[in-house]
Amino acid sequence: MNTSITSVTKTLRVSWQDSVCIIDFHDESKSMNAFSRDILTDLDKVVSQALAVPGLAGIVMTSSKPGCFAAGVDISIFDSLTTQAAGEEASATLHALFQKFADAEVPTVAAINGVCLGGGLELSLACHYRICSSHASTQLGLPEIQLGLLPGGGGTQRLPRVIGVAPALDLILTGKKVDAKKALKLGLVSEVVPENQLLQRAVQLCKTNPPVALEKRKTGFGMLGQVRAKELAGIDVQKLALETNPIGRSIIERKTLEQIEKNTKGFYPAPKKALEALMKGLSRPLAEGLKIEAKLFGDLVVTPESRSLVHIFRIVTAAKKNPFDADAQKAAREQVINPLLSGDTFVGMLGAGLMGSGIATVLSDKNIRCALLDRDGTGVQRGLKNVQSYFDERLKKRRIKKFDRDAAMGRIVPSVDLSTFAATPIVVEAVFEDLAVKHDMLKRCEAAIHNEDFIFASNTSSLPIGRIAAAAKKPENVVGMHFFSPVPKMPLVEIITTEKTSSKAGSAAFDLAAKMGKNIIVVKDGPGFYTTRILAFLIAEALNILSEGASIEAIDKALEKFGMPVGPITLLDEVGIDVGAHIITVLKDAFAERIVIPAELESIIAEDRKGRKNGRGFYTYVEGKKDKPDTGIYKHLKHGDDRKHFDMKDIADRCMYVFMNEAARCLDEGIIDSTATGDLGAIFGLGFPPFLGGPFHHAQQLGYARVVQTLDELAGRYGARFAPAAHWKNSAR
Amino acid sequence: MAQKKSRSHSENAEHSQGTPGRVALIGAVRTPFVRSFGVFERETPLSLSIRPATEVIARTGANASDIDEVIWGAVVPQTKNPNIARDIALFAGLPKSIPGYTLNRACASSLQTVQLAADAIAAGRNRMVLAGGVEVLSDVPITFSDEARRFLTRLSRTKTLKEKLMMLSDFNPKAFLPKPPALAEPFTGFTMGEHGEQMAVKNDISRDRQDELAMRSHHRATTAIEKGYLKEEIVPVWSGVAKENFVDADNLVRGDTSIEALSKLKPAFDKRNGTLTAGNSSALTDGASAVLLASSSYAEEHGLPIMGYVVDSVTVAVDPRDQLLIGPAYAIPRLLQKHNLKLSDVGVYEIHEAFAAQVLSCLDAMSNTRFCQEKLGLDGAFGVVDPARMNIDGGSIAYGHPFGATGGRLVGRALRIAQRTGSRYAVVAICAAGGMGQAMLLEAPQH
Repeated sequence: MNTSITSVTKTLRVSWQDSVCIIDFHDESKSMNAFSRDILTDLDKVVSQALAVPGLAGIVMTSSKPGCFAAGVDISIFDSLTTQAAGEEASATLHALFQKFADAEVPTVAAINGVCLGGGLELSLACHYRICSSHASTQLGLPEIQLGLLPGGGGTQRLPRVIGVAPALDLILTGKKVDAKKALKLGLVSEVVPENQLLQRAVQLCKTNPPVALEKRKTGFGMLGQVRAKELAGIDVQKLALETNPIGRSIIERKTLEQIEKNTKGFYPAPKKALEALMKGLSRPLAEGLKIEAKLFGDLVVTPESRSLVHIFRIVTAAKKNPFDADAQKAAREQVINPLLSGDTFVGMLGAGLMGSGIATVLSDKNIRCALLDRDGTGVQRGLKNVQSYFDERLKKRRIKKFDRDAAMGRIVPSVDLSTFAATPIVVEAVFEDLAVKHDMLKRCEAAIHNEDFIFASNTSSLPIGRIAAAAKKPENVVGMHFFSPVPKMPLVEIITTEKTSSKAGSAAFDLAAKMGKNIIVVKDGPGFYTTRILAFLIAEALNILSEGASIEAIDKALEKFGMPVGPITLLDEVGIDVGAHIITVLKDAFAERIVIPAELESIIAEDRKGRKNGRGFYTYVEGKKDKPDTGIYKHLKHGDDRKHFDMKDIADRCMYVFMNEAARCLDEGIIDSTATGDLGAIFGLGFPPFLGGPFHHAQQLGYARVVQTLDELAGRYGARFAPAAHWKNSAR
Repeated sequence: MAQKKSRSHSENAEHSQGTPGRVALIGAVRTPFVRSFGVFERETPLSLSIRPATEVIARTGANASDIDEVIWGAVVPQTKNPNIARDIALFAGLPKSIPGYTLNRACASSLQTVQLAADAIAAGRNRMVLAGGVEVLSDVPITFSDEARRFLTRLSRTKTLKEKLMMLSDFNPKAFLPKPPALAEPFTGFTMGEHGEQMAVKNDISRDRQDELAMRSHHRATTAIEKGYLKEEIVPVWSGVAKENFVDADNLVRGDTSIEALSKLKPAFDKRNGTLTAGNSSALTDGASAVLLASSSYAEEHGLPIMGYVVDSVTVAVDPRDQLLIGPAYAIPRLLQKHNLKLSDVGVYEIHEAFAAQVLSCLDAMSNTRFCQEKLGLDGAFGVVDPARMNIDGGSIAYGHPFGATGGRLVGRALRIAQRTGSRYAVVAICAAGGMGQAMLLEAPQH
């Protein structure tokens, strides 16, 4: 057969087998296959040439790249789509290319091994047949929603036609990935075969099966099209009834809208647009549906929300790189990480409280052994119970098997005696937040651990690491590893290095946190580091507004309206009022000129109000659940029960500007090394709204001049804490 | 650490020279031993074994990757983890490169694991070996009768509905009553307790002597616990659904027991004329023990603690129909003779107490001229084991006897006592089902 088809970008290898053209997408220059503009043009040319070959028996689209079929469209493409029209056109271009696979007069087959996401899956959906390998790396999904977009390569149109409306909505609106088994169950692929037989099977399919385009094979509505007769009995009748008639579909649409409203609180436009594209497309021919999809894609690609989410995707990807020097990384791997990964030894976890047991849980879940130590049997028992219930829960949900659970528990070495730590290369401490206690533990570890070069990572949320390290024989081995509670859910670890911390210790902490699947920011030592410090300023401001006469619920509502997941007063109750007060005391020593706390806080604490943990806080708690604001608080405050009206926007502005301003001061002082670090920390550690892209991205979108102006105004009214940080003034110039 | 580097000098040249050096015992720990069907009800042999297995490695600071083998003893057959040794490495998250095998030498199982570990190290095949054993009688497989088993396996092989229906006519519901495992000797049909009774009769061991030994066992164990001698030996276990049972001590030892109390107990096996009672027999027990061994050269190179050395062991077997549990009376004399040692050269005897009657039978036999002449081929009586040197911290009647784990406990205890009392040699001896007996000679580091 014709073998003269060549790829300009050298990412497509064309070969022939029994008159079947095999297009192998394999970009050797990158770790993943992704469609750039050039590659798309290239693919268009290659497929057009192949289709013109006389006697062609079929086209197989596949990839020999290990673990990656196609991860979607190269994210840099989005940068060039600066107008709605450009976005719409890009989508239409993609449609035209993929349509060639759908319109082919010979069978087209996507043979999928590895990740197949976004544009990769949309191309596959345009093919007449999809089969995939049973390899663990095989994952299919349309994650565009996570970038504030909708699938613009035909996904909103073809996916529901292939697998039905409800499952398609589930995949598109969550962006979740499915494995081969689930893909087969959904009807997303017609066959799952071992990876070594994948290509052979695809070629065979071309020879035995006719080319059937999606729109031509529907009976009634798409769903039935791919149901084999013997499976008909197993069809969910209710689902069929809902999906195959207009009334049913309008019910689905209404329910989905309600769900979207609940989940996005109106902050994210993409899910609604995706739903619109999908629903409108259902009652129209495919070509019209694709036009609607392209238009809506164009609408979304220029939204600030999508820009923010793309920005986050970028900084998350960049932050995965270990920033320490290569020699230090190597030493850390050899001395700390590799012995942990092999099972030679374990992480020594000091303190089996909520934090300690949470860290142990995540370690064990990631196949890293962990010794969980506490003062006495009861302390360890509480921790073990937490770990056990996490894995019991996963077992109950059938995420893991019983033997997985047993092995996870087997990786935990409970202990009440430091002699268990003899061979551990790294200790993580989460004991009581008191310098003397930390010093005592550090000394006892030094006495118990044979390897005197062990790393001591402190999970303090506010004590300066340098002061903890002051008592150490080897202060270069002391590093901060600030986890957030609950550890299994919270995606950030803030690593704190002092002037003395060695790169090896920093690198070991970084790699360990990476193995735990966390996003990582590396910051310099200082009171409250980065995250605790900027959060403290936000909460302090909320308390100031409270003491000026606002109601508890007004403040929380204002910040929720801004996009924070919970209001600052609720958050203080969650963290613990005593803990919060302790942090503020630590910060007050350092930032006395800026941090202003209402004096009334002391009388509130004196009432034994600790927040949720003792059921007494700014809110009342009924059976451990937050109920109404506790009006008993008001007697300590000015205006008493007579709360005054405050403008929501004013509340949010004061809280968020003081927060952003302190973040910029951290940048001025070198606590954080970049705006990207600042954005990551605020989003993943503190719940800063992702649709705003982080405090620095948000400020950029607002315009620096406007930020400086607002801060100047606020400073005039409320004081020095609002005086614009140097970073804003420099950026505004 | 300096003294650990100075190698002791043994008369036995083959143990003091050569590249691997001697076989060093570098760690020995165990779980608390507790009454079966109690606080460890939720444990499995695997989950319980993981505790001492991981702790002994952790506490000694040994590099797990250098462990070349796990050898584990388990007596009641394990259906969930038939090769529990390998599963310990896998389920504890230890390096997956550590192979393992599981053995059954009845009650001497974990003593045998120590000997096999020592053999592999002495031969230079292994650097470091994790030995040990377990028994969780709270978690024994309950089986169906042979008839039920045949019915079920045949049913699974039938192909057609007709065949299946035909088989139902053979169905005998009675056959499906589960059979709890019996602790009986397959070759004689008698239980261990019945064999103990036979020995008490044959050797004329009085009830008083048995109760006396039992009381001493409990009192000595109590003293040892009070003095903190067991602190280094025991690793705590958190057990139960919510890990609510924090168990850090043995629960069978009774310091308040007395001859009066013991003499009131009814015979447990021969209800009419028997002398063996629950008080002078070891109880059904759950527990696990682990022993880490390495070549002395490896241990010294890596700064690992050396508790002592494994010198040798002797295993014997007799006709089970005669005296099932008399093995130690053969094994101890042979072992000492082989190494030109007199009974008095050994400062510590750890003799497993399955039944007081069985221990006394063994001791009597070794001091009995006729027995020693006829059975051991000696000129006269071998001698008397000084009661002050035997089971100094109490024995299995006090602590309990998880079959697969007892050997590991005795080895660790023997060396810890030897260190405390400044003794050079220690002997561990265990009687085992099948008419077997095993005795091991250990040597404490000399300073």
